[in-house]
Formats: sequence, structure tokens, C-alpha cells
Amino acid sequence: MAGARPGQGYLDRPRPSGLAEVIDLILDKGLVIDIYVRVSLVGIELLTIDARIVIASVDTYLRFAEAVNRLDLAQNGPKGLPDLMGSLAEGGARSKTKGALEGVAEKAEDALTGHHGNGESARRERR
Amino acid sequence: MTHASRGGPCYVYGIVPAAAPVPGGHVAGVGKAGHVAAVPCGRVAAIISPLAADQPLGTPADLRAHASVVDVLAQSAAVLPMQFGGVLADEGAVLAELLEPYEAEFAERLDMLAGHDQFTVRGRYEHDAPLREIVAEEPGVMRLRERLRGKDDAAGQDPASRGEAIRLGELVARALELKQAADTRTLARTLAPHAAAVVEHAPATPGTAADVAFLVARTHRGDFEQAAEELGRAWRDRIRLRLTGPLAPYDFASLQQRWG
Repeated sequence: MAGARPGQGYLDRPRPSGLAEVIDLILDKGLVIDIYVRVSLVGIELLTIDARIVIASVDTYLRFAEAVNRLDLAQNGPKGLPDLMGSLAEGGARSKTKGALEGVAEKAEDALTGHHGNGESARRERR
Repeated sequence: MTHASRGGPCYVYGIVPAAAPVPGGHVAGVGKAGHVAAVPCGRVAAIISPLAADQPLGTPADLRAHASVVDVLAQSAAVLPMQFGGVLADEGAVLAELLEPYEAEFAERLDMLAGHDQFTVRGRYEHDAPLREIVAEEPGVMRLRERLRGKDDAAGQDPASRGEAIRLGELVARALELKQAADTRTLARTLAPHAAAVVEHAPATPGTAADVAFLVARTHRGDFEQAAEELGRAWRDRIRLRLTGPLAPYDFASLQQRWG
């Protein structure tokens, strides 16, 4: 479908054809054929990716605690103009400095990247 | 319309109105199988391609092939995109198990989707903005944080400190979930006036503020994009918005969904 047009500053417009976007759409959305009909066909192996993080784990809690402890609240004031211009110029969803939450999310995103690079280890039978 | 050859398993890409054009031979299908074809039934048709029974599916090329066939379909007509991996035993099964039982529902849903595209809006939290908000908004978080900050290894060996660190993290995680739910609601409600239907998704990572799919009439696209841009401006420094689309209506294909 039509490609992205340049953003106007406050909105990123990625091209919808990237593999990550595609995976997100076609693996868990869309119309599903009756599952019993589908599994009757042997030999079809499906790749699924589940990037959801289980938040309720001690490990995650400790990482959240660490992230909050590292915050320097003295920096809490409004962003200076150079900072703001910098973040506008970046234009991307990723900031120059990794956010604390990115650290918490790191494991899952690494896993997802791993899936991209290495399809074999990512494959598993669905259901 | 080109009719599919009978025989082996069929990979199904989506359902289109019977009058819709079938993609030409230049469109590569899933697997190494043959050309993409239509199986018509009343007012609708399934777009399929033949598949070898012992052929595993799931390579990046297969995913892209599925998406690009659906995209080509969406360019010329309304389409109900199938989820990746929809396979039926043969062309007879496509008719008997998919099209004949649901022809009326498919036709009705295709009528509703005509003239609309999906747009997906996702928000990512900027840097540590939500953590700062949580520290400021939750007295319990602020208190525990002050207690732990004096100590050298908050998450380390001392069992009492470790317990407090776990408790702090738990409070932060809960507060973040509430924040994500509130931001998702705000995004959905702000753009809903410009959309025919809305599907909210639970944020998949801690850094995701919101993830919402909108079905937008082509006549409303300008207003919708304008509203998204304004929300992006209102949320600057807090949340970075990404707008993807126009997309085929993957989020609005399920027959169980009620909307409009």
C-alpha cells in the first residue's frame, strides 16, 4: 500500500513494509481458519513470536527498582532548547540515550532480534 | 477470474468481493508453489495459492509473501486478511469449510470495510519520563526510593534491602501498567471520532505507552492524521507516537468482532 510520507515533527511515519511490522500484523491478527481444519494438515510448521514480557517476576521488579533508583531527579526540569532540537532532529523512535525502560525491556527485544536473525531457533509448533 | 487448480493443499491469503481483480502472475506467493488464484463462491472469493503438503512454512520470505499478496489485494478492493498460516486440504475444502458456511458474513464484513484502511498508532515512552512521573505521583515509591538510595547495593545481598527493592519494583511495575492503560485509553478516545472502529492492544513491552488500531474511512484520513499529529505534539517529551498505515485491516477481519 502507499508508503510513508515525511512526518511533520511530532509523529513518526515508518514504512509499513518492514519485517517487524509485517510479523506483528500477520502472526496474531487477521481472520483465522478453524483451528481443527488447519491442524489436520501435517507437516506445516508455523513460526510464532511472542514478545510479551511477564512483568510479575522478581527479576523484573529488581530491574524496575534499579531504574528508579538511578533517576536523577535534579534533571527533572524542562528540556533546554538544544536538547529539544536534538530530539526533533533525530526523528526516530529511539533516543540517543537509552531510556531506563529500554533496559528493562532489553531481554525481550534481544530475543525478538534473535528471532529475526536466526529463524531455526525461533521456530516452534503452534498449539 | 482465474480459477485455481484442484488437488493439493491451498494456502489462503484473504477473502475479497467476487468482482475483485486477482493479482497477476508477477505476485509471488507463499512457499515455492504456483500462482495466486481465486476460488469464488457467491458474492465473495478466497485468494489462494497451491502448496506442497510437506513444505514447512514460516521463513521471513513466506511472511513477506503473505503480507505483499494481501497488500496488492487491498490496493484494488476491500479484503479480509487471513492470519499467516491458513491452510486448507484442497480447493474443495476452501469452498466447503471456509466460503460456503460464511459467505453471508464475509460479504457483510467486506461491505463494512469498503473504502476504509487500517492505521496503527503506537506510542513509546521517551527516555525515563514515565518513571519520573511515577516517582512524583506515588508517595510509596518516593519513600522507598529515598530509603534505598543511601545503600550501596539496593538489589544485593542484604535480605532486608532486597525485600524493599522488590517491593519498590513491584510498585513501579503496577504504576506503569496503570499508566499504560490510561495512555492507551487517551490515544483511543482522542482519535476515535475520526475512525469507524478501534481495537486497543495491551502494550507489549514496558517502554510501550499505547498500541491502538483504527479503521479509518479514506474520506477521513486527513482529519485522522491531523488529530494524531496534534496528540503527538501534546505528548512531546513524554511519548513518541508512530503512525503506520494505510494497512490492510488485519485487526478488523475477525467475524466475532462487533463494531460500526
